[in-house]
Amino acid sequence: MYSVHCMNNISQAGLDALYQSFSPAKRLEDADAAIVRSTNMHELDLPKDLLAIARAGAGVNNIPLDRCSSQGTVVFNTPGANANAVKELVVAGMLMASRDIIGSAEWVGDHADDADVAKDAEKAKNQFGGTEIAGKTLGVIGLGAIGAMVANAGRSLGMHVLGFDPYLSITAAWSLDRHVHYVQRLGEILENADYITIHVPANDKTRGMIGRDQIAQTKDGVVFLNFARDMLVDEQAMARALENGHVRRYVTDFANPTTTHMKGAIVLPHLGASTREAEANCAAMAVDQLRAYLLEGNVINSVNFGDVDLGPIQTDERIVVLHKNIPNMIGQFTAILANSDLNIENMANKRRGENATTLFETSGPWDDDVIQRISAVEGVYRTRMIPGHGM
Amino acid sequence: MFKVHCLNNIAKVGTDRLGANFALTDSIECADAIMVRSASLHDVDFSHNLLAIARAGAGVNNIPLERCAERGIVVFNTPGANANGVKEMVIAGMLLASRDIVGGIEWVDENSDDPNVGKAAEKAKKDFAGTELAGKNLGVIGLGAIGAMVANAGRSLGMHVYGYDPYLSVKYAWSLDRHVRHVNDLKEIWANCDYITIHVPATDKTRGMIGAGEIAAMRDGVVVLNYARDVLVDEIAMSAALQTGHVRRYMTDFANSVTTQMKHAVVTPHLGASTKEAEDNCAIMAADELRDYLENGNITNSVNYGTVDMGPIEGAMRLAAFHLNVPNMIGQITSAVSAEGVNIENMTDKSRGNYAYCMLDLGSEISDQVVQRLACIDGIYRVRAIRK
Repeated sequence: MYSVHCMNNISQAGLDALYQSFSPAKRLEDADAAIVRSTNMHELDLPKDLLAIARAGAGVNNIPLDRCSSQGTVVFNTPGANANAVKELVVAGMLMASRDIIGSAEWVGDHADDADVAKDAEKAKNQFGGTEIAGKTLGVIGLGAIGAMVANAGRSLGMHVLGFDPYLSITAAWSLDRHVHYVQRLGEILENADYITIHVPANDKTRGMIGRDQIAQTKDGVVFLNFARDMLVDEQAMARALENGHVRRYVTDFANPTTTHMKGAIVLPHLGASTREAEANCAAMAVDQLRAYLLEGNVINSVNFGDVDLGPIQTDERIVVLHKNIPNMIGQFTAILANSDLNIENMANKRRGENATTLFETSGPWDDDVIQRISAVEGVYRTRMIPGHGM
Repeated sequence: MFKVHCLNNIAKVGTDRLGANFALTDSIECADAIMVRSASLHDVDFSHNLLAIARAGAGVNNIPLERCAERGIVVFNTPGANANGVKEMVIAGMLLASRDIVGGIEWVDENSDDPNVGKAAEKAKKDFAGTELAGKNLGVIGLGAIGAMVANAGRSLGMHVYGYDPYLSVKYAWSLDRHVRHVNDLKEIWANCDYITIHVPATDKTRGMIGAGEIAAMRDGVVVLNYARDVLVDEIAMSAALQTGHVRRYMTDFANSVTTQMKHAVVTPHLGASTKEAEDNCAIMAADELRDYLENGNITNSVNYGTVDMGPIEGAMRLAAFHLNVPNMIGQITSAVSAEGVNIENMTDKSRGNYAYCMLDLGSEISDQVVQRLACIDGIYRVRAIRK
């Protein structure tokens, strides 16, 4: 039985599911796999035998991906598990940006002992009034699991919605309300939207993608919402645009020394995924993905190796190879299998960036040397054999 | 030319719609009509030329309805004009009740000078975590303009929605998402719903309709939202239920000496309709109602007279009579007109409580003396002769 180490607390439902299939490992050094939420793993020694790390959540900034790849540790995340939680917070963010609900609730708190509070409220409320979101234009940058839900919510709240995503997946496209207007240029969102919300991963291409020039293209009085990652926005530029009133509100889930001192910003302490439902969904997905990988070699929602799914093992054994995505790898693997008189019944190969996953289902008399011979191929990080359930 | 006096600021998009037959006046005595928002008219003496009062908004507690009705002054309001404004507030209320967003923002504020605030937030945030709306049960009491929109919004946010309204109109039934479950007994709402929002008018029947017994019948951890009127909820009972934790949150738009002291209440200062769009919509509706009444005698959305709509004036002139709702009034009006040899081309009479309104399109003009004579009939308190 494989053992799994939990680096953070996960929900009870997740734990129950986990220990149906795996045994608990007290220390990371003894574990075959780890489940993590927000613990920073960059400074940790990773055991060489660690097969997988499952992040219960979407962002993987706390995990040293390159180091994991080169030692053949597959890293998973759980995209979409917290999508509804984030979506609901984005809706709340738009509404709080439109009317000063927070300021008004504070006003009531400050006047709790005023005997005429009801009358005084009628006078004071003018300063907290605002606008509605129905009829306004919402721009959604990034139409993954979260962005697509936000776009649909905008539609159902009566907004005109513009969506931008150069990498739109079929799943997301399928789920989108057909009245979401798909635009080809980010500029179309910047120029037309009253509310702009960003839902893209943080990488070198997206860092600072909302900078001074992008902000300058937006409408006067625009509201920006950032429930993705703080580094996507050039926050110095945002602070200035808030100061001069060009941006009406910046609603961000990322508290840092810049955002906490912004005028007109609404700053939350990273609450996007902080719901019981999201945590349960993340944990359940992470456990399912670990089970699929450890017990069957199937890779689902990896961030450093290609996703492959051959379903349950149907032959004598399945061979999992994690390797560099370079020419002639599969040719070398198949030659080794042929030399060992193993017949390939099924095979799948999928790359992700510089790395790839290859699965073979074979039949024939097994020879343990096969694993060593494949592992010896230049560019292979790890090779693993999983016996078929029939054996 | 009709003269209109605005007692509060009325959005220009509204007054602009009154048209060329209208002028604004600073004098309430000279006005044919008054437009008002929240200013109280209870102590105002109405001049005898005042024909109508239009309230840009829904509540008419600030207007002496009975006194107006007795004098043939039609009072209008603008139901539904602020519906979307309130609906969005209710959604915000549900979301703020589900996660402690307010507490989270306050925490950031208190820690704004901590250079490691981002790291500290990761530890602190579990205090503000909560639950989601999707998949939960929402009960909507009252399915008028606002309640129907709230019910539909709940559906589109993935909630299961229960709706209760013994007086549901065809118009709003039509607008409801067909997955909204219509229940006939409030007990079903109390027993099943995680969020309960109330959207009924304040009347003697609805006052205190959410009392200790109703609250006790609700689920543990229920969220109750009140963006309608504070008198609908027995707030002492609500305080007690918040104290014990039986009610998780009370979201109310009514600040008073009870709500401001409640534990786990989020109290806003009557912001439901405080949006530019709602104010514009109210002003537009109020102006349209006034204009149609003053120019054509048609009554839409009155709170003290019935709805009468005969379209634009057909025939030579239109006669409108306000009368007591007693037998033989219409007979006396029609015989007086017939005695002049004038044909009645169209006619409508609509009563509301003790008062009724009768409108006739005439084939030819009648003189002002005849109009005067009509006005002297016992039980008639105003007659208007309206010409194209």
